[in-house]
Amino acid sequence: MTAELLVAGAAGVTLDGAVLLPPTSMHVEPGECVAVLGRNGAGKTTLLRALAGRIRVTAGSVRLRGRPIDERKREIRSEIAALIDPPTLYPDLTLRENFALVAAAWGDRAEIVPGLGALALETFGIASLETRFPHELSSGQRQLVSLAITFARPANVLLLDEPEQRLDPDRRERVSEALRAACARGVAVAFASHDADLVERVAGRRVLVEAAAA
Amino acid sequence: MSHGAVAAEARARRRVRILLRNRERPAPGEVAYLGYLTIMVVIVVAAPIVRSGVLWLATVLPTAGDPLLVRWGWGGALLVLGLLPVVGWYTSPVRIPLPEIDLLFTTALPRWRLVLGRALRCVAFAVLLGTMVAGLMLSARAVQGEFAPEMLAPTLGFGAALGLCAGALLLLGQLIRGTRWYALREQAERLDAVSTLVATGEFRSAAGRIGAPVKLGRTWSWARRWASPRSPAFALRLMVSRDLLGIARTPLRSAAALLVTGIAGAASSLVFSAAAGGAAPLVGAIVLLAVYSGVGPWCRGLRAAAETIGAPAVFPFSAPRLLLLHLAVPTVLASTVCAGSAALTAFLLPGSTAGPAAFAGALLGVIATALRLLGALKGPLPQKLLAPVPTPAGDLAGANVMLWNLDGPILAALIGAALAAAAGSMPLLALILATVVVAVLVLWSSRRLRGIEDG
Repeated sequence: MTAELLVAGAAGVTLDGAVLLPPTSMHVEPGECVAVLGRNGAGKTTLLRALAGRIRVTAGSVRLRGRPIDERKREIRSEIAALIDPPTLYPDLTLRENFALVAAAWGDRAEIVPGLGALALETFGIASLETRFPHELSSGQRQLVSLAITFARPANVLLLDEPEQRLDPDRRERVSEALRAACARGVAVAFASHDADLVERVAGRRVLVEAAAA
Repeated sequence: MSHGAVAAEARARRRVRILLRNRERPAPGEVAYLGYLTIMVVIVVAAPIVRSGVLWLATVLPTAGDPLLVRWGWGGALLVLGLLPVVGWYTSPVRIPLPEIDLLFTTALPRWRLVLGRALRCVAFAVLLGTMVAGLMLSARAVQGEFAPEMLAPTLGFGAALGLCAGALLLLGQLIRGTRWYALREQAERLDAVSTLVATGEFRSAAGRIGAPVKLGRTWSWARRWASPRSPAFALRLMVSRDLLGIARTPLRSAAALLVTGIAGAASSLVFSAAAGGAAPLVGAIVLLAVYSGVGPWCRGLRAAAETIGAPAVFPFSAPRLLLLHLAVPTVLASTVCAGSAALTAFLLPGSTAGPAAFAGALLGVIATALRLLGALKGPLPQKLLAPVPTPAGDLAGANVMLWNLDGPILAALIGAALAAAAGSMPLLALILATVVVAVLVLWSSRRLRGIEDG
C-alpha cells in the first residue's frame, strides 16, 4: 500500500499557551484540490505553514509520503510549492529574468510535476509586464506575479493562502483556471480562501478549521 | 514677456519668499538654544577632533614641495573632484522640499529662481569647507615650524577655489540628473524617506533607499544563457551570472563601489608601512570601514537571498547554499580589487613589498564580505532592545537600538583597528587574528541563519 501524499493528523500549533492552530486533520492527494475554510484567525495560514513544513506542529503530525515534513530537507522542498507570504524577487532583475532564473535553477526533475516556467506569465495575464522590475508593480500585479512564480516551478503539492486577494473578478477566473489545470496535471492543491465562488468552482473537498474556544 | 507680466512675476516671487521665510523663522528661544548647542558641540566635539587632526597632519605631512606630496595631493584632489558630479547626482545637494515641488514647481514661476538661493548657499558652504581644510593644513605647517605669513593668502585662496569647484561640480551632478518635475519629485520623495529612516536609526533601510530603483537594461537578453545545459557548477554559474547582471544594471553604484574599495585597498598598504606610524589603528579602522561600505552595492543578491529565508522556497537550494552562491561575486571582487590596489601601491611606495600587501588586501575583502553576510542575516530589531534602560542620564534604550543598527560599521572599524595595530609589530599575529575573525563571523552568521530558519 502506498502512503498518502500529504497528511496532517490532528496537527496543532500552540505558542506560549496561545493556540495558533487547533488540532486539525486533513489530507490531499495527487490531482485533488482541497479548500481550507475558516474564519479570520482560525488558523488556516498556520495550517498551510505546517503543511509546507515552515512551522513545527506542537501536537499531532504532518507527513509527506509517510515521512515527517521538514522544509530544510531538499526532497521536501522539491515537492512542495507554496504561496503563503509573497516571495522576495531579485530587485535588479526584470520579471522575465526572475522567471527564467527560477526555471533554470529547477530544470527538469524526475517524479515532480513540471511547472509552467515562463508560460506562467501568460497564464496569469501578465506577459505584458515581463520587462518590468519588481518595484514597478501595483499590489494586484504583485499578487499575480507571486502566484505566477509559484506556478512556474515544478511541484507535486501546491499550497496557496488566499490566492484571490487583491484581484479583480477577471483575474480570479484566471486563478481558478490555473488551479484546475494544476489539478489536471496531477498536482495536489490545498488553498485557503474566503471566496465562495472560487471554492465552488475549484475545490473537490473542503476542510474547516475552527478557532479554539476563547 | 511684457513689463507688466515681469512685474507681476516679481511680486509673486517676493510674496512666496516672504511666506517661506516667515514659515521657517524659528522662535527666539529656539535660536538661543541652537546657538548654545553649536557652541557646546564646537568646544566639546569639534575642537578636540580638529586639534588631533592638526597634530596628526603635522607628523605625516611631507615638507612643502615634496614630489610625493605634489603627486599624491594633486592625484587625490582630481580624483575627489571627478567623483563629485556622481555624488551630486545621487544626493542632490540642493534639497527641495516636497510641498515646494508640488505647489510652487507647478506654477509659472521660473524654477531656477526658486532654487537659486539654496544653490548659492550650497556653493558658499563648499567654499567655507575648502577654506577650513586649507586652514588646517596651514596649522599643521605651523606645528612643523614651516609656516610663513606670505603662505596665508595663497593657501586659503586655493582652498576656497577648490571648494568653489567642488560646489559647482556637485550642482552639475544634480543638474545632469534632470530638472523635470517627475524626476525632482521622485528624488525628493526618496531623500525624505532616507532622512526619516536615518532620524529613526534605521540606517540599514536608509542605505537601501539611497540608490534609485533599478531601471537600466530591461531588454537585455542575459537570461537566455541561463537555459544552457546543466554542468556540475551550474548553480554557481547561474547565480554568479545573476549577480553580475545586477552589478551591470547599477553602473554608477558599482563604479563607486569599485573606486571606494580600490582606494581603501591602496590605503591598506600604508597600514603595513612605516608611513602610518601611531595612526595605523585609525587608518586600519577607516580602511576596513571603507571596504565594508564599498562591498555593499555588490551584495544585492546576497541581501535578496537572505530576505527569502523563512518563506517557502522559490529555488531548489537550501538557504546556506543559496547564500554561499551569492557570496562568490562580492568576495572575489572585493578581494581582487583590494589585493590589486594594495599590491600596486606597495610596488610604488619605497620600502614596501607587494606580496604581503596583496595578501592583506585580499583578507580585508574576505572580512568585509563576511561582515555583509552577518548584516544580511540580521533580521528585524529584537523587541527586547526596545525595553527601557533607566539610568541617571535618562532612558538609554535608544543607544541600544543605535548600536544594533550600526553593528556592521562599528564591527568593521573595530576589526580594522585591531588588525592594523597587530600588523604593525607582529604580522603573524594579525594573520591569525584575521583568520579567527572570519571564523567567528561565519559561525555567528550560521547561528543567525538557524535562528531565522527555526522561526
